[in-house]
Amino acid sequence: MMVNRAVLAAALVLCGLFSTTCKSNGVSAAASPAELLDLAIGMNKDVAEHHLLTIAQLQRKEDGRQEVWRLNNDPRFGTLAVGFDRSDHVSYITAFVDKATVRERIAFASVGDVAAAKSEILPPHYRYIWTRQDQTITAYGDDPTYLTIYTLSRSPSAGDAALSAEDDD
Amino acid sequence: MNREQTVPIKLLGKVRAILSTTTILCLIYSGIGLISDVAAANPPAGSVSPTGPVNPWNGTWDGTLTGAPPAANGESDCVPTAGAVGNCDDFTLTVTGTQASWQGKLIRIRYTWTSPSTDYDMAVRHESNGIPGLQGDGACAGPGQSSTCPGPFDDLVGSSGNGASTSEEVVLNPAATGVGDYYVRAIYFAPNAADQYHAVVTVFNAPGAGATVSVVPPTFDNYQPPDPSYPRRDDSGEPSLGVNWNSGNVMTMSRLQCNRTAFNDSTSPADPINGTSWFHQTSQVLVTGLDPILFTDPVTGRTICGELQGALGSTNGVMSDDDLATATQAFQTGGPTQGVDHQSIASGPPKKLTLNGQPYRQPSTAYPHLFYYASQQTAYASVSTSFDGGISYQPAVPAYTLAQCTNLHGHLKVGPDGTVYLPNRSCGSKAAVIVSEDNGLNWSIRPVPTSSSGKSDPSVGIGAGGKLYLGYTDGSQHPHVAISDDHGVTWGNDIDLSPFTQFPAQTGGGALRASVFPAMVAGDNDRAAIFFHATNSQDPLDPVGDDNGGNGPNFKGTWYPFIAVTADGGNSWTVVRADNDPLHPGALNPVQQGVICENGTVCPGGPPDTRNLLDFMDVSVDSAGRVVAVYADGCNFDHPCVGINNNSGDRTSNQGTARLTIIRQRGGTRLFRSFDPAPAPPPAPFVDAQSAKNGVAVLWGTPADNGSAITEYRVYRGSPSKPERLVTVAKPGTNSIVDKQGKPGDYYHVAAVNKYGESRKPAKSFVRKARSAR
Repeated sequence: MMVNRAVLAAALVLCGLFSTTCKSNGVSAAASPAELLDLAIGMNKDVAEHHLLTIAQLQRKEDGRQEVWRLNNDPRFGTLAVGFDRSDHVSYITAFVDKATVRERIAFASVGDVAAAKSEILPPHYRYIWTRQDQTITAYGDDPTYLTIYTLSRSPSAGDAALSAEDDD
Repeated sequence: MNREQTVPIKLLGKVRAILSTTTILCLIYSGIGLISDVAAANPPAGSVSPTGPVNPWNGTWDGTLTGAPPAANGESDCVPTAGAVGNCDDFTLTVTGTQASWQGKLIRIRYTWTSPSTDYDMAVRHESNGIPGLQGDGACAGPGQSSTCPGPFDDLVGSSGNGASTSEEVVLNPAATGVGDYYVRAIYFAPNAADQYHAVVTVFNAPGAGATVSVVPPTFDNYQPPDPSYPRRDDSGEPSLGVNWNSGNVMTMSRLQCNRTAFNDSTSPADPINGTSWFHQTSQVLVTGLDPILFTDPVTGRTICGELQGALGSTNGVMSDDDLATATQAFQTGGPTQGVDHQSIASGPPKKLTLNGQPYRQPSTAYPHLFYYASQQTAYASVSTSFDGGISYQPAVPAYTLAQCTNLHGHLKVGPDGTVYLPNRSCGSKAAVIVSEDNGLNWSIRPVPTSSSGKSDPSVGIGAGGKLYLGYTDGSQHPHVAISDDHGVTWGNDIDLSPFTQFPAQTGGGALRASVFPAMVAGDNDRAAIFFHATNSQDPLDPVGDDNGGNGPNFKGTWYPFIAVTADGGNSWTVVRADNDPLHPGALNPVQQGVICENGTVCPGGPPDTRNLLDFMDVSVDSAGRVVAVYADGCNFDHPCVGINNNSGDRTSNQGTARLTIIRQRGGTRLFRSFDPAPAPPPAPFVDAQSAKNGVAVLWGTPADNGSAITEYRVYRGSPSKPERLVTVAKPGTNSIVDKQGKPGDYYHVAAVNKYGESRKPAKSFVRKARSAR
């Protein structure tokens, strides 16, 4: 089937993205990537930025300790946003597909079992959310098959809300 | 003078480290502070008349320098040079004719270059100090100067310091600033000798010059809760506001509290003590939160008032259909897939959509309008729609991503045709609206091509016919309004309001330096108003930055509230200062001293807090077309900084609090023309009569003049046992007397008079012992 081939191909791509998700069939039963483009939640900021400099160019810094990076010739994603917590560790990583330049599209099914995910579907908006331990994977797309935004983040908690309170207003 | 520091400062909108080169230059050039350099543009000078550049000059020039060393701190880094070496060059623009001959004419000076990685800034000074040639900031060794660099700088009348752009622009208004020599200085901030700037000077008609629509300048009054014990009176940062057109009540929210204010319009202005009532609703739902937001649907009267729950991704709050008297329905927006910051709520009529012949995305209950909830998620902003009057919300859909726009957005607005707008200060370095034309399902980004990105959230106003007004601050923090008649697809009349913003003479007048917190509202299709704070301080330190962490040097400047109105669809704007305290008519009433920090959590902590006003303010219109606004006041009526109005105050003069303050229109052109004042005698002012040592102190407000200047006030005294009699006649501009014959038990009227007659008598104001504390 065409879809399955696409999913498999995308999953193989993801083996280079999410090292712990690569199963023999390329699709994990429940997505559990610890890394995205070799960036991991909790990674020290200096280490993360050192790595980012090898794969991307800093586009700009944003309020709330966020950085936007333009990826160098990545076939799947065009832009990367990385957030850091108050202790300078990676708190989230979001990769954006650039529809004008993408060469390899990533299927939702290659991220994890969509049936096991929390889904928010409001065509043409599709969002699947996998939570594993203290991390959350959110895949969003404006297409039923392929994602355009992929986020790896800490799972929110009441504690996070309290922490955010120190930053906000 | 040792200026070697590593603390970053901001100048002209960009981060500029204070480099050790400055110190080196100090050693090379004895003395610091003034410069009359010899580096000239090519050509070095030209003249311009009200009809345009004067032959043989063609109105253009080009940069010539290498730009070494780069002027990383702006004009203060300029050094006198000769030949092609240097970092600032100057063009002398001689403005000919008389000052009066420039009425209705403006001069636009525009630099352009090719690459966004190259950067030039512009500073324009007007010959003012009697010393020939330019005396500006920077190292000095100019002709006629001693080693201590004597004399004041020539007046800085304009500057432009955009980042990541390929242009700078300053508009001069010689009708206000005068004729003679202007020195246009190019500051080589990030120079490229192969990418020199090209300058063009044009003369154009002032927007609205010759317009057929005239605006009667509006007048405004400020109101604060008079009771010092009013909860959270001084903790009202980033307030939002709505008006219920059915009741006339004004709802506001700031920091965990929803408020309702009613105004008694039997006098003009409403009596700030006895003619206003303040009510607060503190629901248990609001016991915690990160960001406050309130929205009142003016047509249905429904108010939503809530607090952001941060990482849990929702806003909890109360809903009320009786102006907060009761919280009739708790609501909660969605979950973690909605944003964690900077939320906004709005409602309005739906677009009539169908799908397969069936109504599509329409209200599911009897409540006729749709609600929208927007917030910033990690790496994108999302919007969700409520079809049941704001109680429950659909899954949020992305409106834009960090790859497209900066993270935070302004406030949602819904047009009369159901189009939904979410403004953003920087999408591709342009101010923009993100627009949904299908009741919140899909969104598209529509930037203003002529704009640049400032630091404040922009704001949208939508006229009754759908005309779109986007108020924003540009890269130089100047206030702008841009207009669109096609939902933001195309834009026009992007006007910088700074040339029309006049400052009190006590502050030295001069040009607007920076503005913050633009808030926009429209009424009739061709009528709109923008509310902003602005300062004319020319202190080169950043007026909206983190003030060097608070450790100094600190920005000195005084900020005032301004409101600009248009009655011709944005072709012309009338800008007025909106700081009047009705109990102290005409007295200067600043908003803030020193920095208004817009650097978010990077802002230095207090006390005094320079982020005390937080991130925004709000404006709306009542059913009678009055502009009504809310802001947090850092210079309260009873705070000493009221007496500091000359740009001498820095952060230490800033009280660091945020008092809830409502501005309400008193006179002048309304946003609904059907309520424009008709020629008539003035309405009666409020009167306060108070026992004093030597009689009775009688105070009255300045009423609306109904289109004809007030010629006098007539003060009447009576008592239950004696007939009423005229006590005195006071000149316009007078708002108080002491009646030595007055005594407890007497009452007073004050009638205002214009060419149409005397105002009717209001209710009697009996003498009381003492005024309530403010």
